[in-house]
Amino acid sequence: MEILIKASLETLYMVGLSLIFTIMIGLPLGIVLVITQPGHIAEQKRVYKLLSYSVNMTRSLPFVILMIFIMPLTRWLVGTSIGTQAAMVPLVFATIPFFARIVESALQEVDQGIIEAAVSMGASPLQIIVGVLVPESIPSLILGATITAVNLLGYSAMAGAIGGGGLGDLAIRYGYHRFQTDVMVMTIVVLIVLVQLIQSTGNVLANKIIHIRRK
Amino acid sequence: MIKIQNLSKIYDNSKRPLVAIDSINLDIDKGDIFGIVGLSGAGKSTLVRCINRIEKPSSGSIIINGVDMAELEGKALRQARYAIGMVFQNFNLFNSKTVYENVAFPLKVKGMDKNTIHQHVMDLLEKVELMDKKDVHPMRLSGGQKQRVGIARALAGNPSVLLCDEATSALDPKTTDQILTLLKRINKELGVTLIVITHEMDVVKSICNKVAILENGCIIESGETVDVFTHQSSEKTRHFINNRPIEGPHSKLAKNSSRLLLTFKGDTADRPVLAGLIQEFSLNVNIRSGSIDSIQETSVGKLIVDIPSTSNNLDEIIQYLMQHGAGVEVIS
Repeated sequence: MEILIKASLETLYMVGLSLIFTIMIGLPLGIVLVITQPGHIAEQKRVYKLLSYSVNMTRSLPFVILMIFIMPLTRWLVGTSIGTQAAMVPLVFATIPFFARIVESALQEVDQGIIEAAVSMGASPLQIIVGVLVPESIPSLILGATITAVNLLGYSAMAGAIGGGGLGDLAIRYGYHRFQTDVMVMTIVVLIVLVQLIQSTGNVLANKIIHIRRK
Repeated sequence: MIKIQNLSKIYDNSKRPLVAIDSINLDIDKGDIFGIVGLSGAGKSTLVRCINRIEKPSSGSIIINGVDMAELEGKALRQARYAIGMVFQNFNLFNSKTVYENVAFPLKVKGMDKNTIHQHVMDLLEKVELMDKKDVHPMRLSGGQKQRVGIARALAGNPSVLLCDEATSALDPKTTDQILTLLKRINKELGVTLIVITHEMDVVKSICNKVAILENGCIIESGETVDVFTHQSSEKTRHFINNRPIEGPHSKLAKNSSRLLLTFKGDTADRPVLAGLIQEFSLNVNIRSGSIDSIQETSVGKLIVDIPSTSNNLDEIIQYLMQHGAGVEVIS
């Protein structure tokens, strides 16, 4: 039981912190992906193409391969390539492009006319991003972050395979190597509960905002 | 006040370049309510979007208060936009903001302080009679209310020009009248110049003092609204202006008769011109149809009459009518 709690906390720590880093980097990246598109508020065809291409490239690598591939970077950043902290580097690395695409599609849903209205008022690109684009798409962004968090949870289990700690690590060591089915089942139950919790928190938050906006 | 010279906009990103507006020249005076009408695709939206530079014109100049909008870029362009408000067909309100925050946004953009913004927003909401809705989100508002928020927001920056892009086209007739009354009041009270884009002639008739008709990116007719509506129209402008009353179903023209379209404008509409004609020439005039219209508070009457005539006195009849202030057009 104790190890299960410890592993769950490790997972939550990994996922939580990775999510924060992912949002910190992925949100601006997604915003740049939108506004540099042709016809948008800060059209920069080259920047857009370069970023879009890099995002696609990173997203084409399966997580396990990416994790091993960037090990030298991980070692350079956190000093080791084993453990919870080390697992977070590939996690963040793999999730940023995913989240950036989610941000991109959320911001693209903002009506062109609304952006035009802001432009006609003399708003600068930054004022439009902060005052219009992001607030208008907050519900979609929250749902997108929720999907990203669930994804991170899945990836974090894989990171367990290289000694990243957490629930994945537990399942592999006890459930797979030692044939302790009970630990395996418990891990699965905890994972299911965690995913449900993340998803419903996201849904509740997004719905609350949508509800306020209907008032 | 606004001088548009040789303005063209060509979209050449496709294989066949599309000329959206073709060397347009327009002069709009301060305090005008200037109507720009045309069918969809005539280029009216492009024209208005060039004025506040949401679209970049391909050539020509747009001089507003002495500054050429076509030349501006970056910060100077953004600041120039403060003086040009815009009202949209689909309102384009910020759904994430309350009515108050929507109206406050352009003021925040200008970098005004909170107290000034508050005072300004309250004034504007009072002007558009939406004080009670100030903390409501746009989703809760009716079309007319949304457009009033749109107007308040467009006025927030104290603009000297207000661009209305089909501002009433998504509204029912009653709400349309309310919005038009509001726009007219704003024009009178604040002295804001209005440029009204529309495909509805009734909008032009009720509020615009001047009008330009746009077709395929060119202006085919322009001038004072009353003149444009009373003046003999060309084949091209006829289907916008439609200044003839409908002729009756049994309107075959008798032999040795001429059919005339008579136009009476303003006070000539009050004079018994036709009665005078009948007495003077002792004619049997047959009235086919008639209509009376109110354009910019001037009444414009139209009559289609058949006049028995020999070719020699028709000229005299026309002359008599014209001397008495009526417009005459021989239809057949």
